[in-house]
Order: sequence, then C-alpha cells, then structure tokens
Amino acid sequence: MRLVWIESSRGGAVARVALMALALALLPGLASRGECGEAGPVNVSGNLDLVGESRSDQDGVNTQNYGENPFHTARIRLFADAPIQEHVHAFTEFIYDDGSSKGARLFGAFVRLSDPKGRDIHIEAGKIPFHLGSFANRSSAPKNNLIGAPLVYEYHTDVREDQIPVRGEDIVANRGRGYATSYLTGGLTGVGYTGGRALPILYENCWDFGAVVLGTMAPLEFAAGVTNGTAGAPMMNDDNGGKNVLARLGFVPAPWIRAGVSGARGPYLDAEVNEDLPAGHTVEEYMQRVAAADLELSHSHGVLYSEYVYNRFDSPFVGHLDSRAWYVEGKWTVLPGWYVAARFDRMVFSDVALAGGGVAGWDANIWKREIGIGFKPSPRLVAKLVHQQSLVSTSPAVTRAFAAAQLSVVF
Amino acid sequence: MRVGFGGLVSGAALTALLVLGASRAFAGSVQGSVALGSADLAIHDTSKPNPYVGQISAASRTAADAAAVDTTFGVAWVADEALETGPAPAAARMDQLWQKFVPRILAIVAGQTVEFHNSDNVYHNIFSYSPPKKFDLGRYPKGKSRSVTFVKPGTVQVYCDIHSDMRADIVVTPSRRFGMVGPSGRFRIDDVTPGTHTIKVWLPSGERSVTVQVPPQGVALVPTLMP
Repeated sequence: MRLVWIESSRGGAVARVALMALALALLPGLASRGECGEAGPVNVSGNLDLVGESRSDQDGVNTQNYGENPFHTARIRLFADAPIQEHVHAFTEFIYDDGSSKGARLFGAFVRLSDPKGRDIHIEAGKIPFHLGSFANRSSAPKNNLIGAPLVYEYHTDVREDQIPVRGEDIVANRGRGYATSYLTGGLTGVGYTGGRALPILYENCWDFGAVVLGTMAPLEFAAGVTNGTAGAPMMNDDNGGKNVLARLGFVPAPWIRAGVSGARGPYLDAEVNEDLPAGHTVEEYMQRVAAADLELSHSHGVLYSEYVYNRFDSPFVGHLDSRAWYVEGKWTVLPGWYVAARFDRMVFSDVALAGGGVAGWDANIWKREIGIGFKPSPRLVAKLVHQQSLVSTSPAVTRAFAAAQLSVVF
Repeated sequence: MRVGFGGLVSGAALTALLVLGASRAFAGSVQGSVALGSADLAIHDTSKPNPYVGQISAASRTAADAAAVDTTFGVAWVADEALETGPAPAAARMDQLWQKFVPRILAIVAGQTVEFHNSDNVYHNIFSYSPPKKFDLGRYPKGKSRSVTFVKPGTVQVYCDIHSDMRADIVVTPSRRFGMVGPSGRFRIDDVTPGTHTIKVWLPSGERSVTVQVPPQGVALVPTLMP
C-alpha cells in the first residue's frame, strides 16, 4: 500500500502523525460501510512529475522552502480522500520532492463539511488549500500550463519571520538573496535569531492550518476564513498570538470571464522576537497585508489569466515594506492535444529609508518570463517543453536562463 | 428494346432493395448478457465530491440527477458487418449537463454526426485524442452546440479540457446492428442477418467478443460473458 511507502520514507514526525490521524479518521468511515450507506471507500490517486533541465544552476528563483523546486528531477504528489459520512469528506495530500530536505511531507489534510441542504456551501478545517488569488486551483503539474509558478507565489523576498532589520541597510544588503537572507551577519545590525525563514508574498506550496467557509451563490464565489500563519508564512503551529484572516470574492457574470478580489491580514513575525521589539510593542502589531485581484478570460481555444497583488509587511524599525506583483499568462490550443503557453511575471519593491541617508528598494525588482509548448496525449499524461528567463535587479543584475522538459503522469 | 443507363441503375437499385429486404425479412436477433465489474458500475458513481468547490460550476444540482437518467453501461454490436454506405442516420446528441456528459456512453454508426450541446452555465471545451477521431472543439457557452462526424469505427474517449473529471465514451459501430448494455448487463441486437457472426461488447473495463449462430428468425442467445 502506498501509505506504507510514506511511512518508510524520510518523512518527518509531522507527516507520520498526520498519517496516523488520517488513518484514524478514515477507519470509522470504512468500518461503517454498509451500515449507514454514506461512508465510502478511500480514493487514492497521485501525480508523478519528471523534469530534465538544460542548466540546473539557473532555476534558483523557483526554489521554495525545504529546497523544493518544480524543476527538480522527480516530484510525487499522493492524494487520499474518503467520505466519512453524509456531507463530510476527508482529504489528505502528501508531496515528495527529490531536492527537499524534508523528504515526503504532509501538504494538506482537512475535513470538508458540506451544506446538508445541497447548496454549494462548505466549511474546510485543518491544513487547508490556499484560497487567495486564482493560481492555487491550477498549481499542480497536470493543471499548470507551464512548469514554474508565478513569482508572487514562490519568490522568496528578503523579509524574514525570525529576524528584524533595524536599519534600512540591513534589509537592502540582502536584496536578491531570497531564502539566504540574514540580518545577523556581515556587520549588519538586525535582531532576532535563526530559526525561521525568508518569506514569499503568497505561499501556495505550503498550506496553512485553519478553517474557511466557501461556496458559490451564482454569479458570486466566496471564501472567508482564519488561519494560523499568514499568506507568506503558513504554519501548522502558530508562532505568535495573532490569527490571519483571509477572504476572496469572485464574480462570474458570464462563462467567458471570472474576476475576483481577495485579501488577507495577519501578524507574520515569530513571537521569539518580542524581546527585540521597541518597548511596549508585540509581534501581533506587525502585519502582513495582502490585497489581490485576479482575472480569467477565455475564448475559443484560448484562455488568459492575470493577477495583481499588493503586499505590505509592517517592519518594526524600518516602517512599511511594500511590494507589487503581477503576471499575465496565456494558453492557446493549436491542435488537439497541443498547446502553446506563456507567462510574464513582474515584482517591484518600494523604497526604504537608509540610516546613512537616502532611500533604496528593500528588495531587488525581478521579472521572469516562461514560454512553452505542451502535449497532452491523454488526460493522464502531459509533456511540456519550456524556456525560462529571469532577471534580478541587483548590482550587478543576475540573469538566468534555461530550458526544461517535464513529463507529468496522473495515476 | 433499348434500356438506358438510368434504367439500368434503377433496376439494379430495385434488385438490391428486394434482396436486402428479403434478407432482413429473415433477420434474427442476438440476446445476451455480460457480467459488469466494479469498474463498469463505477462510471455512474456519484460519490466523488465536486473538485471545483468554491468556484462557479455546473454541478449545483447533484450528479445523481444525471446518473438517474442515464442507464447505459456498455454497447454490443455485430462486428463483422460491412461499413454502411447509405445515408447516415440523423445526428445523435450528447449533452453537457450538471458537469457530466449525458449520456455517458453513446453508440453511433460510422458516418454519423454527434451534436455536443452545452446545457451548463459554464464553458466546456470538449476534446478527444482517440485514433478514430481526434478533435478539440474549443470553449463554448450554454445553449451552443458543436458537431463532429465520426467516419471510422472504434471507441472514442471524450473529455473536457476545463473539467478534468468529465468523460464520455462514443462507440462507433460499422452498422446499425447494435444494442445498449443495461444496468443488469443484458443487451439485445435486432435485425441481424442469419449466419455466423462475431458479437463485440464494449464496457469501460474492456472489450469482449463471442461468436454466435444467428437463425433466420428468432433469437440467438449468448451465454453470459465473463471478464
């Protein structure tokens, strides 16, 4: 059984505990089969993604926490879900990435309660899917038109949850360093400790722990909830006393258009840095705030996606750290089974005042473009060939370019 | 007496019709059953949760509504008949309703057209990569239809590019001698020319075949076909 493979892998304690929890949650459902008629069998499925790159040293902007990267050689996602009883369904998802320091890890584990009256209204609780923006629904390889994710969902800024820049120079010195950011070395004056990580703006690759109510009342879609972490720092165990609130409202006035606005607000700093804050302040006062808009247009054999995300990190000593990100992505089916796709990404960062005078951007502006062709001989098999270029505007600028091929199998 | 070319053609056509009519007057039927496995019965399974929760979808009504009106689980046909050369039957219809294809399994004759109608409030994008017929109809909204003509016999898997759990199978048979497999696994094919024939049965779990002797009149019974 595949679940045994998870147990024997390098998965951490959290994954094993979650696996046991899943088994315990599902067993009563299996045991009651035939008694109440609502519980059902466990559906197990998965994706296997295999990637080859022309240059493996060029894919750095795509690297996520734990060293995971969609351009790594092998990635496996396993899904298991089962109805527990009428209107109650349990879902779990595990991910294995061959470059990950975690081995196999729990990606999601939640219970969905659906409206007994049959309306499209649900509550999800647990380690729940990402409900901001619109990319999450097509982030897995078989649904992603390309291989990489939009920058705003993956690129690690030089803001950390466990360290605080005291002067503008502390954060400016880390521009473009992503998850290698540190304010505690190289003569910098930051405070905090090293136990957390640098943050992306939106982190779809790690689902948060919380609860959300979601559904549709045509022509509206809605989701609203509370989670432990924030949009950029999701977590199983809350590391501060504040909760993150999130919401998305979608509007589908006609089949060819889907538009939405979403937002989130929550404290992102680890409570461990409370002692380093200005007197009388706590980490709960310093928020990550996200405001986003998404748009999807489709016509004939084409579909166009676009998102705009405005983000603000409140930083105790250097003030607001703002950023804007947007992307445009298109896909056109040219022949049955064949399509072309392209995405252009951009992230820009606001200025921060320097102690020595003047201002500078708190992170390096970046753009990325990815173009590719896809071949889908069956719904269970997708082959892609892409070329990705990126430029991080550090001094000197860092330009990266590489080609990659991906084979994704649904089983 | 001189007989013109037109007269010869008319005479030949009349003779052909008389011969065909005579043979069909002595046509039998094939009746049988097939054991349906779990994979076959699962095609109308409605227990899978809507994967598009929280997004406007067509599945606001339960999938059970679609399953209730669709009781076809397979197709049986006479496999050794020559391709029909006459006018094709009227277009068949496959609906997209409640985010399902209705019917889930459709049988048509080679040369027949299928009209894919969208009855949902969302776009659908139907495609197939099956060798007998590859097509991609693009996205179109509620109330619109797209048509595809299936010339080659065979089985064509049909999907929606937007809703990955939507699937249908179209069985394109060489002639009109086919019947549908019902929930109990039974099927019946009428108007079969007397003689020895190969009967094929397509199910989601695979294809089965059997040779039968069809009498001039009456019914040839096929023992239950096991997997």
